[in-house]
Amino acid sequence: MKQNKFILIVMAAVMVTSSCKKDLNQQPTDTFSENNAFITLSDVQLGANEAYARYAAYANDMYVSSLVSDEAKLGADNSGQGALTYRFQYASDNTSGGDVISGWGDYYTVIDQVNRLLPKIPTVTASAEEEPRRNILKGQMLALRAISHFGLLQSYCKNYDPADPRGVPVMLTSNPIAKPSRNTMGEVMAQIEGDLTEAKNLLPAVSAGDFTDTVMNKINIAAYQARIALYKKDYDQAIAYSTEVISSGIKSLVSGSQYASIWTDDTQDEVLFRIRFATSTGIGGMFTTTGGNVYIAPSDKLTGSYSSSDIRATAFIGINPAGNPYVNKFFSSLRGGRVVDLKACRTAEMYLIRAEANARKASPNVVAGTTDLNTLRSNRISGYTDQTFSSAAALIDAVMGERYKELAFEGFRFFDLKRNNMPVSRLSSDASAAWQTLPTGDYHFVLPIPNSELLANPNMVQNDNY
Amino acid sequence: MRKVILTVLVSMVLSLSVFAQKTVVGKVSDANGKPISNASVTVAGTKVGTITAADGSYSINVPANGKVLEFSSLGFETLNFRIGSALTYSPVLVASDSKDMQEVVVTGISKIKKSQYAGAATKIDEKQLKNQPVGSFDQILQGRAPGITALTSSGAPGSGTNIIIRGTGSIQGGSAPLYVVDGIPVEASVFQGFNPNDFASVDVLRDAASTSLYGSRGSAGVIVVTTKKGVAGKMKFGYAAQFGVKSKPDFAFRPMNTSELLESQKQYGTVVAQGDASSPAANDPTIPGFYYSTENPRYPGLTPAEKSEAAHLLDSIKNINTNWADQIFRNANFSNHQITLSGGTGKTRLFSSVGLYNEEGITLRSDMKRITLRNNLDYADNKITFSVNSNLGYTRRSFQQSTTTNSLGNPFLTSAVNVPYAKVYNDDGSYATGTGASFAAANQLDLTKYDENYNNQLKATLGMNGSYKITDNITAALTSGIDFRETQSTNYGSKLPYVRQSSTSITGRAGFQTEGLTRFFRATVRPSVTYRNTFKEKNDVEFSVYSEYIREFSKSLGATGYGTDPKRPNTMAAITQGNSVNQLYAVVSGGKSQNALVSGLATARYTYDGKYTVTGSYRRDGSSKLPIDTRWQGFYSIGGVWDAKKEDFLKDVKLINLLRVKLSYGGSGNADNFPGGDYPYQNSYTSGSYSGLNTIYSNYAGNPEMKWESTYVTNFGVDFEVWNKRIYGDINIYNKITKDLFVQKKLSAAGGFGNDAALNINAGKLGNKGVELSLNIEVLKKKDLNVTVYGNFSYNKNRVLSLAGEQPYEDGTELIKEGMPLGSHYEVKWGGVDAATGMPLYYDLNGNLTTVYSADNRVQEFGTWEAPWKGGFGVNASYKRFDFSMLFSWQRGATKVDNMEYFVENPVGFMSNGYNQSSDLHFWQHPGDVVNTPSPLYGTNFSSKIIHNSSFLRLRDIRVGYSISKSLLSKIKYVSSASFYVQGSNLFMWTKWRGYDPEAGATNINLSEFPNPRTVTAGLDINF
Repeated sequence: MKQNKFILIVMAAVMVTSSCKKDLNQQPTDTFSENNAFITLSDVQLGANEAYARYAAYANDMYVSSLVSDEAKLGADNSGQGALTYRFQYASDNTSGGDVISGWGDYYTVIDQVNRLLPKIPTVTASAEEEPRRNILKGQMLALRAISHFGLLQSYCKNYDPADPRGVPVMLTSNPIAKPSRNTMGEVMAQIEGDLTEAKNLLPAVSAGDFTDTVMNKINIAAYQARIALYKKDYDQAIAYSTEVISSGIKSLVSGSQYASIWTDDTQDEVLFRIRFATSTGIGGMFTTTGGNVYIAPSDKLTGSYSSSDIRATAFIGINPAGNPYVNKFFSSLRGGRVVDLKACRTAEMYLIRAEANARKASPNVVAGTTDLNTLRSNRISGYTDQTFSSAAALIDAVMGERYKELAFEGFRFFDLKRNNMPVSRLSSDASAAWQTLPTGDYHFVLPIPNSELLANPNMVQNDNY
Repeated sequence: MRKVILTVLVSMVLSLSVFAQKTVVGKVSDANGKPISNASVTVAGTKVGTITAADGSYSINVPANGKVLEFSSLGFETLNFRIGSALTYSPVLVASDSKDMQEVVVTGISKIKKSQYAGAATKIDEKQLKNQPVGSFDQILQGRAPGITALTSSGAPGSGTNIIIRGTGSIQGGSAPLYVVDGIPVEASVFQGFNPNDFASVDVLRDAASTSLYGSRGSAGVIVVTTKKGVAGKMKFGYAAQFGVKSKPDFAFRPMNTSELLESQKQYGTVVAQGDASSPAANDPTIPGFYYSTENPRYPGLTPAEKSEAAHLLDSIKNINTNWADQIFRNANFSNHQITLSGGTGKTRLFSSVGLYNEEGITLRSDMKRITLRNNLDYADNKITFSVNSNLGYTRRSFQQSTTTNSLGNPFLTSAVNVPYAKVYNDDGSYATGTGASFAAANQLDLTKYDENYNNQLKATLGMNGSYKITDNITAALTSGIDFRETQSTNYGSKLPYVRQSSTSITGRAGFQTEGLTRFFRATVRPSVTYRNTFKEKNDVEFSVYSEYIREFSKSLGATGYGTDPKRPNTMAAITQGNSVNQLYAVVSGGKSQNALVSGLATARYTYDGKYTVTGSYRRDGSSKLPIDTRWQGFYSIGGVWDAKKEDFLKDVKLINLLRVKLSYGGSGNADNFPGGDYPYQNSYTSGSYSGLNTIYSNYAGNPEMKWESTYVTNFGVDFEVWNKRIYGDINIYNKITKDLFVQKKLSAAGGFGNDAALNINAGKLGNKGVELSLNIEVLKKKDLNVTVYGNFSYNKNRVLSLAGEQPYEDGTELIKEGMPLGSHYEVKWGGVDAATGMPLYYDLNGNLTTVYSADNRVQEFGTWEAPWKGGFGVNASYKRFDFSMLFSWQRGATKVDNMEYFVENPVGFMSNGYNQSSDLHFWQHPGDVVNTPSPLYGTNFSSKIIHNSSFLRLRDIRVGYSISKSLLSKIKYVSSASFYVQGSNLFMWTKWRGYDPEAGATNINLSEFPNPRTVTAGLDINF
């Protein structure tokens, strides 16, 4: 009797315990897990939104390219912001290299987000009418991955050489504990070009009516292909791709007040790809704080480069009540205050790419190049009369000068100088003697791999001299 | 042969139990004639035994071979009766005068006789716990048990204490011990709902012999609370009342008064302006002491009218001398009332208590009110014991908006840095608010006046323990309980205070109302079976099997609305609904989580002849917080006790009354301090937004190989009583190693979490070793006069033993580095001020002085916040009907960053911006000045200049009491006992620390926190 009771109790205890075991499989309720984050194609769309948001990484390129070149100087209210970067005193640590190493981490967050989505796209559920979106999302994500890899390549590697073993790690799958080695620059480029080609194949044709500048599409991918072809000195391709964009008639050049309204987000003329900042002052406060402190100002060299009839002078450069110049190009918008979108790619660049490629290709076409340059200038300078150039070299000089003026603060100048093996040379009014020049070939043209990366990843190799 | 026959006979007798036996009855009582319940009555050498009922009565069948009846009970000497022909034996048990009075170690899972306990534990008894004027019982522990670091982070009423047992055992996780009340684990750091006057004892368990019983949750030590039980006999009412005053403690820091500050401003300006009338310093009205001074270089250039205006303004400023501390601090009232009911008849006992606690904080808008209701019901008969313990606590606490930050909303900081020449009130009686540094304190007071910030907390802890004696040797038991808390918090931000009216943000101007609700629920079920037997008289064996199931749920909800209507203050009804025009969108947030723990535990003990005891335990825990591969983990412990006094060679040594040697080893995990929440091994995704669009992204990389941090403790201890039991105590030496220590593994950016991302991995190793001593000396032991001096002392050495190849990393003010103790400050070494130039000097890594500050020159030479040396000591005395007690607590060898000093001894950026400074400020002015603050021409950075010794010696507690004599009471009907006392807490402190309180605030850095108050109370306890 007693024994039975005892056995009963023990059995009851064992049963209670074992039935509780299933409670050990708990799943989070407040977050998504690997299994339920992406179930439907709409979920993937939400993931894609994040990938676009993260491409705000390009803002680092804009900031660094301005600071490490001759288009900016330290502003009137600067108390150290960006100063080490401006003085070419950056290294791989967080303190001195904070500005220049940010892009490394940020671009890989875009790539990782894409890599988390790509395997889901074919398997998630979708309604019949959503079905075509599979290819569209895949194409958009591949394109974002490509241009992010390109961002890394441009900053953290030397000038393009397919055989250079110090490219950047190509990431095609998401792996938080990855310790990748650097791929050769050729391998990275092959992946970039492959992704862009595949993306274009997957995406539908666009017309002016259904073009959207906030997502990747056939046209803006062609624009990036043109930019990348120019970077790898494949001029024929650069001409072909830029022609593809220009000939599409989508986002043609504008002039006058229409041009100025691009920079206040009043219109999206000329804008081929844009990252939206609907409420954030991340771009509007980048050079000048929201409180109006001018940390980074346009250089005297840049200010002096515009003629009085050039509409860009006032569109890009403002003078604040204290009489100090500030970067007006990314300063305010009609949507309110300092909320400004990130314009990552514009039609004007296509004209400049085609002009430069025509001048640089094996058998230069100076006439074609000159036409493009004149077309752009006539949209920017009131009363402009077409010019002619006696040689390809003269045209190249003119195009480089025009890129400096047209694309200022948009993330080009530093990379243009690097690509063309030109020094950074600043005016004495813009910089003290110690940092007026960054000589051609200086190791600072290749930005450092962050220290944290080297500590975390034994397979990583630092760039020279850091 | 005869023996064999006898054995057979005995077996027959036992198995049949029918003949040749007699029934013996009686009553067991103590020297005062009070019945002793639950005393055990056994027939020596047999398995026959019983326990006494609530009235002390027992009845036992004595077999024929039974010769001796053995009576034993906790707290009494064991008494043997030779069984004669009588059938009634009513022994009077004598209270055990052994100083080994903590006979039982309550582990929360089991009760272990101290003589059979192989580990280190300290019991804090009722006497030390009761009538302490604090709202959270953990505040009482400082100085009362060895091996504990107990730092009360805030003097706000009801604040908890950071308790660390035997040194920090985790870097990424926490070090809070596991708290158990009457066998039910309860939420750590939420003790406002418990009334410490209901506590009978608190056991502090420090080593593996007991912490391993808790498996994955025991590694930070276990604090076990046992609440009071009813005392058998007729129902007795008790009433206790306590009243008192809390006030600002003394501290070394004193802000400058007006004349000191104006003089200092003049000196500052003179150095900075360098005689240049156009320099900014000469033209800065935020430093009126220089601006209006005749020594200002611009002064000669002023017109006569301007000169007299300057003199006039300076004079009018000089006439204001506000002591902001007087505005911020107040003398606060304290009261505590309690009614108790205790008694029982037959087999059932009851303890009920109602407590009413009311404490004001020593600054405005800080208080705590509490009602507690406890009901403990106990039942015991020969077979069954059953108890229900329930506690309900309802607490309301009000808070200052901010008391732990470097913000001007923190009254303790604003009172230190606001200039004394600012007025408190306008002529119309409103606060003299405004924009600018000199208005900070008035603005803060203005906010305090209009805003409200408080929470209401309902805490219910219900426990049920039952046991059933299946056979004489086998007992089945069930412990189950619920720990429940609901906290409803309210924060009202009126739109009327000046800082809101002058806010530039839409929501800032509109005022706000925030309501929050958090709920915590944990259920515990623990069935067990225990087998106990004695073989051949000397072999005592006990074996238990337990299983345990714990389920925890938490939930939170919060809502903030904007646009509050001051005509209807402090209600959610008064918010303005948001729309695209007013932009006052309400914000709602919340979440929930849960976890489960399933465990099996086996414990075993073997004692031979009362001399040698071997114990062991093994526990296997399965937790929902771990991935399937590592989900189940086992923890074991082994221990041994040798009662040397029972050996022949010590038996006759009169000097030694007790000598017990103990050794234990075992492991446990740090589950309750686990970093990463309930699902740390899983990758997680969350939702965000991109310019009005929703997004989903990965926000956390789980570690799929995650397991518990496990701590293994080796403990060697000796318990002793010598010299007629007048000197007694224990000493313990331990080595505690944390294995699988979480360290931050840096991740490659290619992993997708950006630069500097890290993952917690189980790779490191951490060591704590030390020695603990507690000692009591009965200096005087006479009829009317008893004096006992006691003390405890601990030393702990903490070291990071291994980071498993990961790089050292910064965490707060420290650098986590192999070979260094945790908490080691990491800072540039201060080299003083160059007497010739007034420039700040720092040491570089080569030990050379440099004027250039560089974070690269940081070193770890400045000690750690966790004091290696600590303890407490005091006196307990009684003379006739008076009693007296005193407790000092201390820590030594700790250092802490004094962030406040950085503000109040820093003319650059602080005095120059119109803030007050410390009266200790002496900055460099002339070549040759030997001072510790550089010339105001040079700024300073954080350096070892502001790292200071935070050792202290505190008069924690002092008390004088008087009990009214029985003879006097007998004249007053109904009153059975009455006593009065006067008590002081935190009356004095000796420390080199110059801030408010070396204990308060973050453990590593002083952020101008709420200091622990000085308290004086008086009270009475009456029993009817």
